[in-house]
Amino acid sequence: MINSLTHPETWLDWLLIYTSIGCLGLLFCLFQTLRIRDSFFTGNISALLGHKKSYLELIENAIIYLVAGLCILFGWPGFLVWLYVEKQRETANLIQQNLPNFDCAPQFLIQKTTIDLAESNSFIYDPLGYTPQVPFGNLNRAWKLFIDKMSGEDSLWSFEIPPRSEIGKYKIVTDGITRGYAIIRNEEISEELIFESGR
Amino acid sequence: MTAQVSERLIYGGKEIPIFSNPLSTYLQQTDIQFTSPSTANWRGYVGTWEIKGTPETGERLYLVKISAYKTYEEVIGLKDLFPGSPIAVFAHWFSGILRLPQGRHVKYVHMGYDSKFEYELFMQFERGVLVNKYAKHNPHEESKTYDPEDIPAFLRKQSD
Repeated sequence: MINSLTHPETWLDWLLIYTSIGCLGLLFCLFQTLRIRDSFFTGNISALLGHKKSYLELIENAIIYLVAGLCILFGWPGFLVWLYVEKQRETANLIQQNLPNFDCAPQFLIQKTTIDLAESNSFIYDPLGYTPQVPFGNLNRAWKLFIDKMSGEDSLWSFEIPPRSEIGKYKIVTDGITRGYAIIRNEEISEELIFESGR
Repeated sequence: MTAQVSERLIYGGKEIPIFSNPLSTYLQQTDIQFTSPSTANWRGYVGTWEIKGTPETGERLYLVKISAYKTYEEVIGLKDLFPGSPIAVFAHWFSGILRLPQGRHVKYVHMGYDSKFEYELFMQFERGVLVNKYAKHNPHEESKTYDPEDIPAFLRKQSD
């Protein structure tokens, strides 16, 4: 048999090699299934609660395992392709999840500006005098945190998102207008400050 | 998601619920987060708002009171959150619509602010200044009758 595996000559030898790889896949899947199956404790609790499997369920399970085993044994190349596609999909999802979730997108940028100009346009008129007379009023702390993140080559842009636009990576539809400033670094939005929004 | 405890608005001498969260932009931009005390208050705070001023000078939205859960045990108020404005805070960041439910409760929805009331008053603000008001009538929805055959078998068993 070892000779057939190392020096295949007939089609039966090749079939043996092919199914041996399938066997390895099958063993791997069995190991994974045993690893995640109910523990002894969980099994006992289930039995106490009356969740005992009927003979029909046991036969059903046996048939499912048999069919799955045959599929892996003879169809392992397809299984490998599926595994590869699934892995690619998971990686793409992970990249998407790790993207920063900014409301602003490049199409909403209006014009390049400066910190001084932005601050001079930001004072709040409050006839009752409760709002601090500092840039961006009650949002002054947020503004300071925002401009602290600017460095040498960064540029400051104003942006405006019209109502009923899709924003962020989850494509949330806005109710009202959203205005703010964005820091552009290497032609990408790296930070944003929203000073007006209808959320 | 459980129906959420609403913000409050002092309006016309009464305190009425608001089905909007005008403080959320402020909290998001200042990176402030609170602890949820229960499933009925995921945002972790309840604010009381008031419209101050006259139509001539402009009616503005102010936050006048807040109970916010800094931790599960520690509740903070307006002067802790806004040390510079301990009496009232002008919501100049808010350019949106406040939805104010009025009248009879016509439909309970176990989700956020989705419950329906007989009337809804909408107040539109631009940078915290009231610019428009309008109302909507929600007719009472008749309870739907279900054919027992349309209910899945496992649910039918439970309802027996």
